[in-house]
Amino acid sequence: MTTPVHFTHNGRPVSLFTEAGESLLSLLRLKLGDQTPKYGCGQGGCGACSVRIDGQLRLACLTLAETVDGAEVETVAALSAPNLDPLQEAFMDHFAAQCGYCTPGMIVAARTLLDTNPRPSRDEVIEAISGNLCRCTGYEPIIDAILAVAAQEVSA
Amino acid sequence: MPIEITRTDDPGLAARLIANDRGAYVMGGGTGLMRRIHEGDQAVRHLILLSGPRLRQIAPERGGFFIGAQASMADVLAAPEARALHQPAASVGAPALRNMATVGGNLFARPPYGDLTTALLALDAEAVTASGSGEDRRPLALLLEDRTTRRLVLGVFVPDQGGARLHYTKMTRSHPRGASIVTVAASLARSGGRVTMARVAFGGLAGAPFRASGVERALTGGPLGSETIATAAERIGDGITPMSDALASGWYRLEMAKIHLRRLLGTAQGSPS
Amino acid sequence: MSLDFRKDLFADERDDNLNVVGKPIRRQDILGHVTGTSPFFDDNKFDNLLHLKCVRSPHHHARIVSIDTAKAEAMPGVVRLLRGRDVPVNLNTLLSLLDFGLDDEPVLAETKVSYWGEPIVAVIATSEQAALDAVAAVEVRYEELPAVFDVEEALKPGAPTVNETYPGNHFVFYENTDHQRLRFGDTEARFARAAHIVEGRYQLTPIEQAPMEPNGAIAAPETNDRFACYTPTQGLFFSVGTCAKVLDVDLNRLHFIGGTVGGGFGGKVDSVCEPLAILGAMLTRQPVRYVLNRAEEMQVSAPRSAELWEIKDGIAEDGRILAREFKGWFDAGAYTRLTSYGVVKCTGHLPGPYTIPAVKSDIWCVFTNRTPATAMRGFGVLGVDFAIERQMDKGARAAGLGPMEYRLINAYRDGDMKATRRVASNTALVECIQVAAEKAGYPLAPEYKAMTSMTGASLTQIPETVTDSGRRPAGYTAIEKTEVSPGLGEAAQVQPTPAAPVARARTGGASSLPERPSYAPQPAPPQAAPPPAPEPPEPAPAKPRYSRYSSSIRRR
Repeated sequence: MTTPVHFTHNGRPVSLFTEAGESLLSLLRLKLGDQTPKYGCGQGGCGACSVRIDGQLRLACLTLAETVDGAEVETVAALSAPNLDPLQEAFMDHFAAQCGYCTPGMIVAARTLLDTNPRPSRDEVIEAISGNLCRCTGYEPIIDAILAVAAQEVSA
Repeated sequence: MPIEITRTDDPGLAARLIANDRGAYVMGGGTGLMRRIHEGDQAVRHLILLSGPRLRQIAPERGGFFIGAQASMADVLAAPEARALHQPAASVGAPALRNMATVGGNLFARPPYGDLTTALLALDAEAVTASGSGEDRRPLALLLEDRTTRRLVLGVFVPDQGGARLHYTKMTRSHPRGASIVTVAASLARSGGRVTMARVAFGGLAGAPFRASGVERALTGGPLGSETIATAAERIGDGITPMSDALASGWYRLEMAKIHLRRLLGTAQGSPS
Repeated sequence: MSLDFRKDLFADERDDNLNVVGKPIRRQDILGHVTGTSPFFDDNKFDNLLHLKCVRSPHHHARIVSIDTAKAEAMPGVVRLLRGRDVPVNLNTLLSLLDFGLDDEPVLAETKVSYWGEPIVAVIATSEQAALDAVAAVEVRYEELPAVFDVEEALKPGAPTVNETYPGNHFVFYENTDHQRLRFGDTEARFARAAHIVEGRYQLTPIEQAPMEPNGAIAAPETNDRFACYTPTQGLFFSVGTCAKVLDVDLNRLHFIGGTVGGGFGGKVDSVCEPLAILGAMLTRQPVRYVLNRAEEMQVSAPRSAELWEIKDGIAEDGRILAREFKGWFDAGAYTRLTSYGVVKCTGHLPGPYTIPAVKSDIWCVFTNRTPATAMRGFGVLGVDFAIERQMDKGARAAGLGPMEYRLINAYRDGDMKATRRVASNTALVECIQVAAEKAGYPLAPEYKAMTSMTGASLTQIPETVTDSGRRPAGYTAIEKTEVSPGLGEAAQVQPTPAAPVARARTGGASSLPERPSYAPQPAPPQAAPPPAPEPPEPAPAKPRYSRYSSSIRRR
């Protein structure tokens, strides 16, 4: 059973067919060619597939593809163009990525936090990325990078 | 066999579909069902995408308030009416998951999930189920116990708590958010230094969230002293088989349940009412 | 987080004017990471991509009675099923590439399963969902066998045989001993003179590496009958060699593309996904993607091994450790993978970073019906270090010393002879403890603060060592190794003096395997005593062997 689905992907309208039971993650990666969200668990436990749907942070792996019909879907690719997001610069400067697999989801989660709470405390940063697992960094450089951007955006 | 999908805003149709087909499930936020599909669970064959304003409603109703089954944890947190559930809702998942996970889904979440349900049990909530073209209410505990009849849950009704106050805690291995080792929700009413009513529920401990009647009896009638609390904690394991999984053994879960009940009630000791 | 570089220590041994080391600098691959464009193996795009999923054992130990795939094969989207008989060389051990150990693990189980989740049938279908549905439709009948999950139980007489290659449930080291041994000095004599004897028993559970990116591989046909394999492997050439061997193809037909690994931590060295993905691509002539889901990654993909340790220390009145004995059991799970190597590596690490004039160690690599274990960050070393450091705390209490002081007294110094017969250099443990004490606010007396790792070696010679005869495992007969490891013929040709052409069986198929180097297990040990050694074979014409690691096949 295939169903047509129309939505906005990083600002661009797209129309595709989705198989019944297919996840948004599979649709984005295999059919749309946006490989920036990653498969880490398929259970909502790791956050590697974090995307924004109508501005809200969500997990692409647990989203039934056809439910995004009419929605705006954003991945980390939306943040990189035309210029890098300050968070991406800060992650590079703070050594906040090692293997890089969690990084796209982590940055989407962090950007969603700063858009709604431009001046988060350290605890609020930790809460905001509590669904995004990182196995390499030990989180500290990531938290530092996000706080550095918050300080910079508020003072600017 | 490919999965079938039905989109509808007719609760009656959804109720008939799930009653007649054990492979049919109403989709909440997808946090439980999508995982099962990814892992090849052959039991999930038919997804029902049910919509309608009632299902996402959070509103006062006579004698309490109603939360629609499709309301997310984030919706609960944004609703002042549902203040009693803010702490439990905030303890579920992480931000992205809270935007997705629904109240209805939490009632049927696989253990050790079901933190909100644990709190709802302690609040003596009722399940609002579809009945013909109307609605029916039954105690949530009864709905959870009867796993054979497949009913469509439209929402839950949380009665006014009068003088009772909810105390809630959740123990996890990872911080700040993680799956439950044990979740404790205790609603206590006190008068003249005595506990006049206690509803105590545990999540993450056994196959589903449950009310611990032995604990409740041990707490009711006397003052909330350390001895009473210790006696009550020893009753947690009555009639249950603690659950073992990759996170913790049943033995560990039960021991942690005792400790966290003692701590939770220890803080309740000093709190007003 | 602030790093404290103690530049006052060993200042003359270090050049502080380097371009990269010690300077804040961006990683060269980090732009790809933050934009989500780093090419992980699963980010490669293919038309007509097929998906592979495995039927896995629901039992810890069972004989496979029958496999019925008819229903699965008829399902929509199913392209092909793979069975053990489709794998050209369906028995392998990873370290056979280094000529260490016997082939003991099938790619797909054919006759029995030895751990929960062991793959039996691979289903290739047009979508992951179709593959999963077909996996559920494959009917396998089992006859359950008694299982063993504990290393001590596994070594008892009458324990179920986990791994038919090793009927005694233990690895055979150097083709002549049932465990890895270390002898240094005379422990018994020193225990007799010790003021305190401290004994301890320590256990560690397996630990899953849990990389964010699960194990997997995508293989695709290339031109000229070659096959590309996109892989997250941590050992790319190791993985090529393994695939060439089990698929019985020349190395130059495999084009491996790796390099970007979404976390490995040792869990991506086993090449469990690559062979099936390539075989699938060979047989379907389409790209095949095989990725473990998270549950498989946690349950089936190999963790760090469980370990059991017994340590006995003899300590002098002044707190010096006189003698230390180890008994260790590594739980390899059902198959060897890298645990045998972990045991060797562990032995090289003993007795920890301390100078002890008598050390004795016996370590077994044991097979049980648990998930096969493999590499994980410091495997072979971390487990025994945990045991050693707990033992050091106990020893300190027995000797009436603080834990830091006791370690400072016993820490090795430059010039000390280690149990591996190597002289220690650049030891630095003394300074590490001193800095740790300072950071922790632990008051060290002046004589301890004055210690240095650079002087004060107390053991400069190899002590007179008491040896004992090893136990030759019963049930093994030496067979001369004459065959070059399949897939490595090319490598063998670069040996300096090949005396004869490389002979390789080219027919393929499990039934026509080349004669494999092995020590064949015999049905039953003839007697408890070591079996008589076979006559040394007639010296055959020397054949080239590609071997860096193994002992010689000749009896010494």
